[in-house]
Amino acid sequence: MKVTFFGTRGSLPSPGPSTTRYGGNTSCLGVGNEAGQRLVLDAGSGIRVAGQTFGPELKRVDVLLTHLHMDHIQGLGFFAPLYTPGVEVHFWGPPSTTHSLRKRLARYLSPPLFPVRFREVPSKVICHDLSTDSFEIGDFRVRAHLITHPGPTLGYRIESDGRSMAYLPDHEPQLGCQGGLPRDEWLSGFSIAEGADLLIHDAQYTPDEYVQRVGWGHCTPELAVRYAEIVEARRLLFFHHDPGRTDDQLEQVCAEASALHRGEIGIAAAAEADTYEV
Amino acid sequence: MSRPLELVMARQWVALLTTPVLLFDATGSLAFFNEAASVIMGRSFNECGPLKPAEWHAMFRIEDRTGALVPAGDSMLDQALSADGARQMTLLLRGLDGQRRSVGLTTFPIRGLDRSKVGVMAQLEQVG
Repeated sequence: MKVTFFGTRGSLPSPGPSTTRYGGNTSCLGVGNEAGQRLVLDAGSGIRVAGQTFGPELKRVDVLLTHLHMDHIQGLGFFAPLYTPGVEVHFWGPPSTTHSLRKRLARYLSPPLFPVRFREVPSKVICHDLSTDSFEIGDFRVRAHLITHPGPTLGYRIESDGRSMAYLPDHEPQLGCQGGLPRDEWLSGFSIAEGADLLIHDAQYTPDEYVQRVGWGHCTPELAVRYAEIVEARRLLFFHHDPGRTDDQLEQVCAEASALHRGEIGIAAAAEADTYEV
Repeated sequence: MSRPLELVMARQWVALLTTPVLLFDATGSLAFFNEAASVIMGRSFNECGPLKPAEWHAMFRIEDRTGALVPAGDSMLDQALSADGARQMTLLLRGLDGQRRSVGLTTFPIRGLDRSKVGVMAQLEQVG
């Protein structure tokens, strides 16, 4: 599998000279396999560029949404395949007790928030409400599981070509845990991340920031490292960088957290436009 | 496999409470009880771990007024675990410390986002 980052930032796009290395777009990834099939993960502002990478031969695209916070859907209206007649755009996302995924997405893609209504786009839109599910899209095997974050939020495990990746961009596994993270089935997202070749995990706050923001749904780089150790991931990429973090600060935070790890997990901070072979 | 998040969050929450609470999963296994409940159960959860229905029936005896064991599956608690709504009951429970206590329980099902029943929460109160 090949994973390309189109947006790595959390909460709010943060373009500017201090974020050129890691990028300023919010969450969006492309995942491709040897069969040439592709998935898009999340629809932050990075999805605008992701949409430009599809050619005129495109018939179907699948967008897996972890949740519907604005930084994960704000790019939807600029996703070119939505405006291509004849293309099937499948949205997969978390459930709600009251409204369908389509209805919730339409809240954003409608006036006064957006000039074009969801129902007016020329592509064929198909929405799938997920909870804890396993399913296949082409040669991709996808597993979704609810994880700890305010509001219904999914983590995804994607397997193809004999490899696996786990995507938990907004995750606070430590919330309410007494005595550290659990090491077993009681750890949020465990079955999604267990043994993953690549783990992409929330690392938004420094420990000092986290103390002020408990319950906001995010993690620290240090806890992300601990999480990767528990699930025995092979590689960890910090993700959902705080919009206020400069490139230099991000590298320092990443280096300090990585230094805590004594094992063989490869650790880095995800950067926009980077591509990883899994 | 991971536990359902609804159950994970319930466990994390009740672990912080001084209200005695038992947590059963969808199969009726005793998935967790907090420290406050360990006083009534006669042992901490860490000492006895998660218990399948037959195991918790054997360890925490539910007795009738004569002291006879109520067979597994026949108690009001068993009925509450399979019920769709909340239940209240009083049971005679012999904990692992050998003490027999009259215990009031209020149970209610935990339904997840997909509307499936992921478990049952039971609040305990020693009434005698």
